[in-house]
Order: sequence, then C-alpha cells, then structure tokens
Amino acid sequence: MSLRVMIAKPGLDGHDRGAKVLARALRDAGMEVIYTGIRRTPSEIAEAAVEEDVDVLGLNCLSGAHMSLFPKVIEELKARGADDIIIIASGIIPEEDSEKLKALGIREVFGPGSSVKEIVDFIKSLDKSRNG
Amino acid sequence: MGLEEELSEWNKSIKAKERKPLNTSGLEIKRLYTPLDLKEFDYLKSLGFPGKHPYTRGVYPTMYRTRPWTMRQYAGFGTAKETNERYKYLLSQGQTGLSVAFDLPTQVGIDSDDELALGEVGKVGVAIDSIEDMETLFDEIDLSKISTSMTINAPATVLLAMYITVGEKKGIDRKALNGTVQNDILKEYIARGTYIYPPVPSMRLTTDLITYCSTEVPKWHAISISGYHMREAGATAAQEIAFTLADGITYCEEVMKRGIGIDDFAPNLSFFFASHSNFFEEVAKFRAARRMWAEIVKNRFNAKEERSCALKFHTQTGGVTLTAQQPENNIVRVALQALAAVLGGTQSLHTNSFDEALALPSERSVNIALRTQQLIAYESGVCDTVDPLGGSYYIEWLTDSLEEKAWKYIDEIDRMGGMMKAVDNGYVQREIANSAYEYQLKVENKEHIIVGVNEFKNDEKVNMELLKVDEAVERAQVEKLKRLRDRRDKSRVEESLRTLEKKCESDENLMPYVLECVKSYATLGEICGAMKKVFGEYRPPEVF
Amino acid sequence: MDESNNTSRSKREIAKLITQIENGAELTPPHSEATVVGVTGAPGSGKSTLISAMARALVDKGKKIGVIAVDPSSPISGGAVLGDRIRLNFTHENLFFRSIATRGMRSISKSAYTIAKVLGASGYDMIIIETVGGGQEDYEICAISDLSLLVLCPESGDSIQMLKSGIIELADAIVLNKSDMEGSEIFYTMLKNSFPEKHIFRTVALYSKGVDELTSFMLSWKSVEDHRKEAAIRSFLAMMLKEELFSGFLKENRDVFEENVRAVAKREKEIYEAIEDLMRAKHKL
Ligand SMILES: Nc1nc2c(ncn2[C@@H]2O[C@H](COP(=O)(O)OP(=O)(O)O)[C@@H](O)[C@H]2O)c(=O)[nH]1
Ligand SMILES: [Mg+2]
Repeated sequence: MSLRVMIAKPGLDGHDRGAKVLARALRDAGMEVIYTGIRRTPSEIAEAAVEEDVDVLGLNCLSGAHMSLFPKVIEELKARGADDIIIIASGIIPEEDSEKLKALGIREVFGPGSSVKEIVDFIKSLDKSRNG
Repeated sequence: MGLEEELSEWNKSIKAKERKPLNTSGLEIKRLYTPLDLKEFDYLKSLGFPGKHPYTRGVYPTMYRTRPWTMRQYAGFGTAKETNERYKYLLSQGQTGLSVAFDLPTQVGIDSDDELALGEVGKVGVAIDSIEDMETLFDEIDLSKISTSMTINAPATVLLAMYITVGEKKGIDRKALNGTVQNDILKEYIARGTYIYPPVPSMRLTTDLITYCSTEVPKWHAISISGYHMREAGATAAQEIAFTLADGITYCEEVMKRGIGIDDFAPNLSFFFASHSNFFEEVAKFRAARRMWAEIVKNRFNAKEERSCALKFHTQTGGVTLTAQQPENNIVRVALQALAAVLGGTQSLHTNSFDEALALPSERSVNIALRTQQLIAYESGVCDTVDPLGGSYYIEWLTDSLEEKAWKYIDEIDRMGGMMKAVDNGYVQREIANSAYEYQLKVENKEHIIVGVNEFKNDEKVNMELLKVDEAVERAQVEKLKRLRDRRDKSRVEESLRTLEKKCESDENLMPYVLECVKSYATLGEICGAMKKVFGEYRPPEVF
Repeated sequence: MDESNNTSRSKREIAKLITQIENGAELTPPHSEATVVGVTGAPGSGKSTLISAMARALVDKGKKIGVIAVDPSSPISGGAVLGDRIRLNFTHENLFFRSIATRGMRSISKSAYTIAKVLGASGYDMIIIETVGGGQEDYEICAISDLSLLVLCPESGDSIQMLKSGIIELADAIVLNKSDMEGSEIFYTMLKNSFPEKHIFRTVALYSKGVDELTSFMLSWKSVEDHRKEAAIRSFLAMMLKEELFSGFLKENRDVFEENVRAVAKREKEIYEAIEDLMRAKHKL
C-alpha cells in the first residue's frame, strides 16, 4: 500500500526546486506524490488534501510568510474534518517559529539546512508506525 | 623528445592514487594542463585585447585599474517608508546606486489586500501598491543623481511607469532618468516563478518596454538578462550561460521584429549571472559568456558597431550555496565567489550576507558583505592588471570547454525553434531539474562535500540576531489601500483601465496607457488585472 | 461499506472510499447514471489542461463534476509523481478531483472504473477520466466510458502515432488542442478529410478557447452501442482477464516468479526458459 503524500506551496514564492526534488525523492522511495504547483491558497490546499486523501501533507514556504499561512492551512483542514492528516513543514523557518508551529499541531518542522534524506526518512518512519 | 612524449612518460611514471574530479558542468578535470590542451589556441582570435572583440579578457581596456566594479547591494523590506529610510542611509554612506527589492505580491502584480498576498506583504522586499507608495519610496531622493536598479519582471512596465511619474512630479525629465529594470520574463518561466501572463503577451510587454525606452528613456537599461535564477534552481555553469544567452537571442529577435536595428538597442542590454563555489569554473564561465555573446551579436545579428558586442554583467554570489549550519562559514564562501566574479570581469557585484539562509539579513551582516568587496578591491591586488588569469593553461582550456558545452545547448534550442518553444515544451526546465537532482544525490552520497553540512559538522546550536518583518506592515498597507480606493477619482480610474484593456487587443505600445493608469491612481493589482483579462494567466508545464 | 447511492456523502467520505478501492477492497461498483467521459491522447497533448478548462466550464454551468487523473507508477520504486493536479487552477465544492497511480496496470487503473461509479452514485453528474496516454493500449478507456475523447495536437510526432493506432477509430470524438500553434490549420484539414464522419473540435485549452462548444457537446451526448464499442470492450475484458489470471498465479507462485526474475537478470537463464518454467509451475497448481 503506497503512502500518499501531497507537497504544497502556499504563498507566492516561485522557488520550487526544493519541493520538486523532494517530490522526486519520495517517488523513488516508493510513495505516491501529488504536487500542487506554486501559488496556492490555504483553502485550495486543504480542499486538495481532502480530495486526494493523503496521509501526509508537506508544506513548503521560503518567503517568510509561514506564520500567516501554515496555521490557516491547519484551520482549513479542521473545518473539513481532516485534522488527522499529518502535516510536516519545511522552508526558512527559524527555531522559535518552529516551536509555535509544532504547538499548533504540525508534526515536524524541517528548518534551513535539513536534507532531503532526513525528510524522506521521517516520512518513511511515519509509514512504519502507521502499518505497525 | 617533444612535449607530447615527455608528458606521456611523466604521466606513466606516476603511481599515486588520485581523485578524478568533475566540475558542475560535468567536465572531467585532468591532473595537469599544458600547451597541448590549447591546440587550436590563437591569441588574437581567442582572447584579443580587453575592450576589443571578442572581449574574452574584459569589456573595458583598463578594467579595474580605472575604477573598481560597482558595489551594488540589493535592499528592500516592509513599507515604502522604512525602505526609504534605509536608502537615505545608504546614500549618505557614499553609495551611488539603489537596488530595489520588491515583495512577492508586487512581483506577481497583485495588491496587498489580495487573498493570495496573505502573509507575504513586505516580506522579501518593499510593498508597492500604487504611485503613492512609489512616491514615499523615493521621498527626498534626487532621481537625477542616482541610478536605480529594480528587480521586477512581469509587471515591469507598471513599476517603470510609476518611476517615470515620480520623476515627473519632482520635475525631472524622463530622458534624464538612469537605471535598470530586470524585465527578463523568460527566466521567470524557467526558474524564478514570478510570472503572470503566458509567454506571447509577456514577450510583447517586454519589447514594448525596450522600444519605449530606446526613444523616451534613453539612459535606461530596459532589460537585465538573467542566468542567476536558473543557476539557483540547479543549472550547471554551462547551462547557466547557454540558457541566458539563448534568452538574449530571443529578446534581440523580438525587438528586431519591430523594425529596430541591433545596434540601436544591443549596447543597452545587460546581463546578470551568479557566482558559485567552483572557483576556476566560475572565472572561465564569465570569460566564455563574453566571447560567445560577441560572436552571437556580430555574426548572428550582423552588428556593425563594436560596442554592441560587449557583454556587460552584474553578478550576485550564490544564494543556494549558503548554509544554515555554521553560518559564519558563509563569509568565506561569499569572499571566494566574489573573487571569482572579479577575476571574471564583472561590472557590478552584490555579495550575499552570511545569515541569508536563515532570514532577512541584519545590518551587521550586510555590512560584512560590503566590506568583503572592498577588501578584494583595495587589499588583494587582483585589480592591478587586467584579466590576471588569462593565459593559464587550465583557465583557457576550461573557457574553451565550457563554451563548447554551452554551444551544444544553444544548438539544441535552435533546433527546437528557439527558446520560447524550448520553455513551452519544458526542455529547459527539465534539463535544470535533472542537474538539480543529480547534484542533490551527490551531496547526499558525499561525492560532493559541503563543509558543515555533510562533513565537518559541529553540534552547536545556531544563535543569531535575525531581522523580522513586523506583521503590522500588512495591516498598514491594506488600510492605506482602502483609503486610496475611497479617495481617488473613480471614473478616471475605470476609464484608464478600460482603455488599457482595449489596447491590449491591439498592436500598439502599451507603455503610454499604463502610464495613464498609474497617474489616475489605479493600483498595481488593478492594472495587471486589466491586462490579465485579455492576456490570460500562465500555467507552467509540470517538470520534475 | 455503504455501496448504495448516497448523494449526501461528504468529500472526505468519498475520498476515503476511493482510497479503500485503490487499496483493493472488494466493492461491487454501484449503479450510476452519470456520464463517464474518457480522455486519452499522447502525453503533453494537453489533456490535463483541457480537463481543467472543461471542469471550470461545466461547474459554471451548474454541474457537479468528478475527475479521475491517472499517472504511471514507477516500475522500479512503485512510487509515482501524480502531476495532473498542477494544471487544475481552481477548487470548487462541485468539483472532485482525484489523482491515482496505475500501480502496475498499463493504462487505466484497475480501480478507475469503480471509482467513477462511486463518484456517480455520490451525486456527481459527469465523471472525466484522464488516461496516462501511453499509446495504443489506451483504447481500453473507450470500453469503460460512455464518451471517449482523443486529444491531438499539431506538430506532434506522438499525435501522428496516435493516428496510426487503433484508438482514432474507437474514439467518439477528436479534440484538436493547441490550435494556437503553427500547423494547426493543415492538421485540422487533414483530420477532416481522413475522418469525415467524426466529430472534431478545435481548442486552445490553455486559454479556454473552444471549450464551451465541446462541453455543450458532452452534455448532449447519448452513448451508442455499435461495433466500435464492442471492439473496445473485447480488449478491455481481455486485459482485465489477464490481470486477474496473473494475480491469481502470483498468489500461489510469488517465490518462483521472483526467482525467475532474478535468474534472468543475472543471465543464468534465458527469458523464454523462465516463461517455460513458470508455465510448468502453473500447471502443477
Ligand atoms: N500552446 C498551447 N499549449 C498548451 C495548450 N494546452 C496545453 N498546453 C501546454 O501543453 C503542455 C502539456 O499540457 P498537459 O495538460 O500537462 O498535457 P497532458 O500530458 O496531455 O496532460 C503544458 O505545458 C501546457 O501548458 C494549448 O491549447 N496551447
Ligand atoms: Mg496530464
């Protein structure tokens, strides 16, 4: 059973090299990956995550707008009764924001300097705990 | 015994184990370079003299012996008022040029109160919604004395119209205005992502701006053809110059279609490259780019004037090479990259601040970045002679080899029918995505070492003072917009927008109509929105 | 599992149901009157872009639309990048868009049919299925859809291949997309001359041109049962049967199968020897 992961880019930054490299690495790790493309609003992302019934939602934002956008995504998921979707986040996210985001329910935050392998391994470990 | 036999004997005699390194462009680097590697080398044809065709050694005869490169640091954040204060400070410190960073809503042509702008207002640059903000941005700054570089692409016509209007209000003739707009839309589709319209209407806006400037704002550099963002997205050095020059070819063709001669605009073209960490490869890259562009302008476009053939460029050190781990190391990375740009003959340079991988740079880190340039210029002695690395067997071989690789890409793009096609079918994006992925794998397998990241790690926690943009900026900007919308002459706004929309369907140059919208206090989002109605919105090909 | 018609299911419930189907839950496809539209054509011809534009137009006409977009799984990792959603530039309460992977099947995912029926039974008026567009085999889509559209574009070698394959005979209508491109006039004339009895539409999916006409046609379409349909069903049934037999075989003989794969890969065995050995294993059953 393949794990389904959605990689989403809320906000306006167009730098999706990281998001795409991650999508490819997740595919090579045997997962089914849906990439939303750039410039999506929190409600579009939540709606898509529900329709695609993903296990994991990865949010990536490099412009510094994460504190406005990520909580909004969480809210939109809750409104759709989909707060069991595991959310992870990556981007230029300072330590103190990362703590706040985790308190809001984001499972893990991969700040600057995290490697693709770390993220892939983390998602794989989620899969193990899900099946086990 | 001749050199060839001597060399092969020497090579045979060596028993030591050694690495067989590849550079980013996939060239295998040999143990040693000798005159044998420069078999086709003809000094006058391959290098010539600085300031002379093919400009391999530099675009000016005396280069930095007359004047160092322009040290131009990119800045902008928060509201126009805050940024204006930073500019006035920078100018008081002797800086003669400004470089404006806009926030993302501005770059994609939407207003601060748009749903999509949530959380982005004032984040990566200054927020500009209307002529009001632009006036604040340049308050108490004499536009006739400075040159202003604006990193703006899809809505470049609107921002330039605002700049011209601010000038007019200050009583400065547009013919006296000096500066640059990036206005390079092709690379937005390829790498940077701040596009609005599809390629065909975008290209029309780009050329409208170039042709308007050629007569109305003659001192203005109407485009800065950029490889920087493709490199940041993962392109190799060879791909960076190939795709940038291919973009350049397309712009020339488009402008010439309007009946303008190559010599009338080529001297006003400028380029923008990245400088990354593989030192010699970068130096060779800049030299190769100059030689190739001279060849393109002279032989492909039959330029008559020498100065049309000279490739002038701005350089920025590689943002993606900065690491969040052990951030102080970035000071050294930036210094090496900046040195490569200088040895490659850059005309202006932005050095990154060491904390940029973590957040917006602080004042202290911006200062160190600037000092790095001054150190190279005044202490290292590299400015004492022109092109000091010229003639090195390795450098000349590398320059030739990168050039050869780059021509292959350009030939391939020509075969596809040009850059517009190659972007449309995703070829360029795919090539870059593959390079990015391969590089990532090398880093993960430690085939490529990044100090502090996959080797030589410390456990210490990063503790730095970071600049953050206050959330109040967004609220203030939204409030300001609301007041403007209530106050302005609504019928004039609507009339000007309607006219612009109608003109989008014609072949007329749109600049005068954009100017009228700006003057009527239409907002950036409204102006871009009017054009969107006719032009539609771009959607990228999926490329992984 | 509630298999009966249920138009009050939330998107969340539908999505969960689809996941179960994809994961192999035995579910009899529910009855549904919704029109199933199959969209096939070479990769890059603009299927996803066209579907996004069609969905927009249909939703604007007050219809509830389901989309099932199929992309290939990697034969090596089993993973997939499901990229069709990038083309979708809106979300809407009356639109349900689901990306699925082929998971070892050739073109239309084994589950696509059941999923389409579930969406139909959940109140969606029209279900659009985008196939991988891998080539000839794509015509099985014609068997499970009420209306099949073949998307072509000018200047494409792949489109020319499509012309040569059987699919063009089976498709109910042809959509010549990218009509903004050079050569589209000539291509259109050629199509008209070669297939005078076919419905041929011209679109520029990117800018939603020609899409209104196409969606009106889709809404008024009445499915016909003729020899074309029969041919499509024959090949679809054959494919399904192969799949079923194969998975039955695999259930009993997975080890033997994998052994043979390894042996051929290591060049210890010729590929036809492996087939003979596997057939022998089957007969022992
Ligand atoms: N010029 C043009 N390009 C189009 C049109 N429709 C789609 N495209 C482009 O064709 C490429 C492939 O489109 P996509 O919908 O992903 O094709 P698919 O692989 O068949 O699903 C994308 O870059 C689209 O932007 C059109 O009508 N005109
Ligand atoms: Mg598709």
